[in-house]
Amino acid sequence: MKKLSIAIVGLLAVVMVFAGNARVIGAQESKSAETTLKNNIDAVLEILENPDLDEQQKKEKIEDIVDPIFDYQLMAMLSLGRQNWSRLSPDQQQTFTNRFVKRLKASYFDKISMYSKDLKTQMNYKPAQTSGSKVRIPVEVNAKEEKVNLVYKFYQSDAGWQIYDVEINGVSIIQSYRSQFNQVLSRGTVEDLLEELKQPAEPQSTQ
Amino acid sequence: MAREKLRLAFCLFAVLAAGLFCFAEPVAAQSMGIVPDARDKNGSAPENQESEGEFDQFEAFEDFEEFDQPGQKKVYDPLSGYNRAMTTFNDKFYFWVLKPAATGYAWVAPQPVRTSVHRFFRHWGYPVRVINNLLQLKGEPAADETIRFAFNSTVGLLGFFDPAKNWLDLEPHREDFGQTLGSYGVGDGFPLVLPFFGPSNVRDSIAMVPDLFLYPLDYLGNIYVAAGLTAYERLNYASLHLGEYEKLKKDSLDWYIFLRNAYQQNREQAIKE
Repeated sequence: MKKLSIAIVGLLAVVMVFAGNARVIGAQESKSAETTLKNNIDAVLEILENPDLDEQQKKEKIEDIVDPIFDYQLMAMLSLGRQNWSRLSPDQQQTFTNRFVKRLKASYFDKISMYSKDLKTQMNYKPAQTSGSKVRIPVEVNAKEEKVNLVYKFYQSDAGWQIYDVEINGVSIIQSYRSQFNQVLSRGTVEDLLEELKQPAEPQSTQ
Repeated sequence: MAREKLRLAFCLFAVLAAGLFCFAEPVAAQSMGIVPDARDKNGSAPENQESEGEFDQFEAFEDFEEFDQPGQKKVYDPLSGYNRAMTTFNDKFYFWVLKPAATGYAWVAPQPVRTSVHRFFRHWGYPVRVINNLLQLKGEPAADETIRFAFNSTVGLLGFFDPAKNWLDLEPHREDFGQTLGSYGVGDGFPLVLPFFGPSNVRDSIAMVPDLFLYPLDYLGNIYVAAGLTAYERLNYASLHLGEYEKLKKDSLDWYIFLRNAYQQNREQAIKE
């Protein structure tokens, strides 16, 4: 379980930019997806390693880079699942998405602060796997004695290739949230869920 | 000492094995998709649906059905009460015992030393790894592991260092008996949280027993020595990963569910490989 966290460090260190406007179809596209991924990971790492920027500036710059590539709306929906999503009114859906995305981003930036050059992280890009209109790009992150396997899942959206899920050592973010949301909704109401999401993720030292 | 251990192991094995075989069937049913049908919502969805401009919600769910199978599966968790309680126990143990101890230890012992200790303990997991790789008919990983063991035992000074990885580019291939059983189709039973060890399931818990016999460091003394070594190994590991537990927990809405689900996904992945 603690390994998961190193994985998340790797994940966030590896957040990529996708200024994707690839309109080529098929294998060529997944190739271009891979190259763009690499380029953009480098761009993000550059920001992280830049000594002239403070934490807040890094946060903002990275957010600018990251926002276009992650399909947050889709991730919010998928993490609830069809059955639960349709239980929400449009207003609730909006609130849910806002809070979910906020939480997602907060979690990212929190983990990203754990990244440092000292980790001597090495990224190994594995061959992308295409299935239908989706591409899975595995990235192996080697940091010191730990190895973390990430998989970025892309799909073709109107805005180009976007990420809809990330797997860390086989654990999908969407699945992980889905199981938790299911639990909350099976025990309580939608309002309960929205309430829980509202609370900023606070460090729980004892509890 | 060996006899004591054997007796204890046998009793544990027998009890849990009985449990496993009783529950293997519901798991099989579960994995065959006997699950509340979420698709019924298909009919009513258009009524709730608002055209979101560029976004056709309906289509989105259709295109991403990969999340529907395992995600919608109702997890069979008959011991959820106990599991939650044990999770809380482990949580308190972490914050009240393990974390302070590991922090103190990290303050005293330099990080390269602790990393070497980690490598040492990992090194002696070789018999478990090689045998389970062989049982899963994974010849090449087993060969890799053997070369790693030979090389690291000598050049790597009994495993404190890992020249096999740095010079020969050979990675460890982690396998354990739980994965072996899983790869042969043995269902996981149901979630079971172990004291100190954390989330597990019936199959993986039982499978720990045979692996225990394959761990050379357990034979160094009596059962207390073995337990002490395990505790030290855990302390050392924790000292290398301070802060991670808290961060993961912070992100979760339901920590128990997060752990249960993450463990399950992680194991499924490990078995598949």
